[in-house]
Amino acid sequence: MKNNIFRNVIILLLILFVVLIVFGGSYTYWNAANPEKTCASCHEISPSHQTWASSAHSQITCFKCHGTALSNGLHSFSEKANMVFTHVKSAPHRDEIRMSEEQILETMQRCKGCHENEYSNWIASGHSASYSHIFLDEKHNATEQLNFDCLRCHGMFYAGTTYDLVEPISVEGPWKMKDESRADLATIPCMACHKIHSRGMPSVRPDYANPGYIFYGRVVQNNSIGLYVRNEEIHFDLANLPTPVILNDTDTVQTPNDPVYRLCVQCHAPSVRHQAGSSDDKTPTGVHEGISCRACHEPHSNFQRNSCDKCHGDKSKNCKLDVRTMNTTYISPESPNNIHRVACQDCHDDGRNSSKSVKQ
Amino acid sequence: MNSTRRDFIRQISLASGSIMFIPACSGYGSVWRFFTEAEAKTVIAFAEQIIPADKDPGATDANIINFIDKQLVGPYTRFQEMYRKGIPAIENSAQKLFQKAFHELGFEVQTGFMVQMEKGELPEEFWQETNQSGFFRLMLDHAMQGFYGSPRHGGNTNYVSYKMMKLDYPHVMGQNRYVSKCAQQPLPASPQGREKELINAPGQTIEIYYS
Amino acid sequence: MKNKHINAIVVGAGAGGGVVAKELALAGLSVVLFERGGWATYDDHDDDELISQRTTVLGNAFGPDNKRYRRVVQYNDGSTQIVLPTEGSYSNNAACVGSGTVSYGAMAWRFMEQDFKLKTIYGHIEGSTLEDWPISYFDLEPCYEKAEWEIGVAGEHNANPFCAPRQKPYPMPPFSYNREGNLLSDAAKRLGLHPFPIPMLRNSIRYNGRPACYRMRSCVGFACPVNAKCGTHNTVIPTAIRTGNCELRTHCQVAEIMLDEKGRATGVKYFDENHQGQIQTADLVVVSAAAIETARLLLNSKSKLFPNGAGNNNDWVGRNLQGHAYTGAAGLMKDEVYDDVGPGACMAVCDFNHGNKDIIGGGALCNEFTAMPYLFSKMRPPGAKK
Repeated sequence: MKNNIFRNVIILLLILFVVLIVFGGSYTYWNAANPEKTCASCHEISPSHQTWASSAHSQITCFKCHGTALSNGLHSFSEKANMVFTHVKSAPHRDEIRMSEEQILETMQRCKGCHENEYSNWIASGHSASYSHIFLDEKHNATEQLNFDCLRCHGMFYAGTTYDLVEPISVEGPWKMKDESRADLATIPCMACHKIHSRGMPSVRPDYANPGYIFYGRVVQNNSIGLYVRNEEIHFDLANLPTPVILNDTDTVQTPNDPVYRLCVQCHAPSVRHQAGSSDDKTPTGVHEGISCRACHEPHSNFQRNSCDKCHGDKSKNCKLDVRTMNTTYISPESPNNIHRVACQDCHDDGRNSSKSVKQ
Repeated sequence: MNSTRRDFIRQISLASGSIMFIPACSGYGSVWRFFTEAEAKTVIAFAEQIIPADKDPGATDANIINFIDKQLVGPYTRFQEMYRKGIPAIENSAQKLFQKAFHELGFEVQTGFMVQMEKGELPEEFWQETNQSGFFRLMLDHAMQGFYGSPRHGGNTNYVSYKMMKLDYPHVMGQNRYVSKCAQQPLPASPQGREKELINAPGQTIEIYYS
Repeated sequence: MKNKHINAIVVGAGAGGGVVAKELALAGLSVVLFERGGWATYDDHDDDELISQRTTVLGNAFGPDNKRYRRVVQYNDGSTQIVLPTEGSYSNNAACVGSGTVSYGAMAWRFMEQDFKLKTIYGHIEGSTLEDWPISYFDLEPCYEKAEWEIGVAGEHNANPFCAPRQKPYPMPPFSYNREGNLLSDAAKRLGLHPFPIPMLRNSIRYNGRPACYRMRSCVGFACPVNAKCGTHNTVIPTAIRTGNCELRTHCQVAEIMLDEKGRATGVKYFDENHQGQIQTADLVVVSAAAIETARLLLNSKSKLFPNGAGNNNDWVGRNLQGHAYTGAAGLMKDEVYDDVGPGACMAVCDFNHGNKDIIGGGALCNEFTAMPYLFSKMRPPGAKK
């Protein structure tokens, strides 16, 4: 009797051991093997894998970024199992898989490892605004009712709607996050403007010392830039983003040639009639017309990367203005020296010599 | 994620089992969900006739075949039979008239063929079960949907049709709060400065904004 | 579980039902508002043309769903066919909280005085059942005004010379024209007509705590991303619910109105969200389920006094249905007239509403709402090469 129990236990342990060896072995193999033989053999993943293989990131293995999915932990296990479950349950199709917001934010931590500089720029800037920063802004919320469209530019990866994020949806407040744990999450993560899997090589850094080179006609080599469009759940490459027609009253504005402008203007956009300076549009008109956003702004931080002094340092060629002491406000559209809008006629009535009072 | 132990066991078994599924997965007969490779060739040629590429992209660039294929296993399941019967009828008609597959015919010949089909003038012997002009209209409609609909449904890759029409997508649309000057001012007590009306509903007082 | 007896039942949370429910709830009555659909939001189908109210080929963005709400179409030869809500012959109306007011183009017309006495003006018309209304414009005028201010209409109150007299202006200023509207307005003036901005149930300024419209192309047939389109779902229904007196029951389809011996309504039988039969009794039953479903519900409510359906002893229920008939004309212009300023429709003339020689009645002329690309692909100039 006692022997029987002992034998049974031994057999059970042996079976368990064999199962663990077989299972563990295959699982370790799964995670370590060439993705072409494992993950990418699933047709959902193969398009992503193909793009990755020809991308600047092709030397970085799946494991490095998709840590949550590819670790040996329980979390990874349930993620993969879910994918298989979804696959088996639904009709087979070739559509690309999507990452959840949780995965996007987790992967961002991996970006940081190599792109430290960009990351620190981003974290110090408005572009790293958290959910509470964006959605609990009292001034904004009292001015405009929160709505579905907020998530177009902030929180584009969030699976729910604005109504699931904040309450109350009114102009009266007081507002609070429905789920407090979201408060500190980033609303504009790396993947809002970058595709990790994209064909191409690492971008060549522009010659920042030469503003002219940045201002005009520079071709962007960086295929990783593109806007994540929430409605379609895909990234739009720069090439596929529209170049809006911007009007300055009735004249058509020469928009920057830099394709990255097309990305910036998606969120820093004019109102429907596309008047320069309307809504949140910052398309330069006047003397700075045609200059790319990136000429003066570092895109991750949005801080100025070039000072006025760099181009207009020579006082004698600059209407005798000292740009270092000049009030170059840009926040108020009404400001005479609004850097995005300032035009010759703001100072000169006609011809260059009959100068109006120079606004310092 | 709240998963019960049963879920967990199910997931484990699926995950370990999935390794064995791989060979089965790679053994697909067709890359399409519904169409066979041969059927797909017919549909691709047909759609390209409806929206031919010129200086702008056409049906093939927009991946209309992918749209139709995807919908046929979704909302358009009810049209499966029509495609399954209609496509061989097109092929049989092409074989009889030109001794070639439809997609192998010259572009002009295909056009002529489709004009006949729309009018219902293809050899009737193959069209006993399917109405040829009806099938023509169905495919025309589906091709248009695939070309102009949202890419999420499988067609209109990168919004090619919108680009052709010079229609912005994604919409370049600014934050609403800057639209009008009124919207920048602090909220008045009620719209148009009218008094907020207090209505005493049983148990509570609620505010309504109207005169 | 048996439902508690209440004061009033309102069947259908659309344009009519929402308003009635709010009025009753504010008056202190306990109300149950039935809706066979659910809440429809912008996020469900955003600007997806193929799942919108104008093009339903891949699904109904605003309900009803294909599984639960099929219809049987009977043809003239007596044959029948089951049609799905996404198919054209279903003649679908939106079925969600707010119903059509969520996705409509939101023109806010008042009837003209003449519209109430068509028979007096045009006489008896052979083959028609044309009658005068038992009420006049002036009976309705205060209600129009109340609706315009509560739900929110943007318009120019004195721009249309043919408009019936009104006591108060619109609560919001009118929308500006788009390029096409400017062109048509100038042309209309040259012809001696009287163009004016269409009164619209959209916020032209911030109103009722909701933002102003930012004029997307995908407006008619879609829900509003910024909640600027005014419907019952974002005005009167939330107000009704806030009173605490109104309970909204979504995904519930009322199947029959129960009538007592005297022919009075005592409540309704309905199928709840799990498709289980339920009974709700009330002192009052308001049927506001739009033309087709209201008639169907009445016809389905047979009793001793009304063997052919409630209120149908004269066989008029469900007769004289009038669809949303309108006709259009399109032309090719020499210059670009499209400027992508939504929703398209913005300008109207009412010179032809009445008093047209040899024509009974008439109508307003407006520029059309922006047709999204697939819908537009069906329009071709006559004789155009295919």
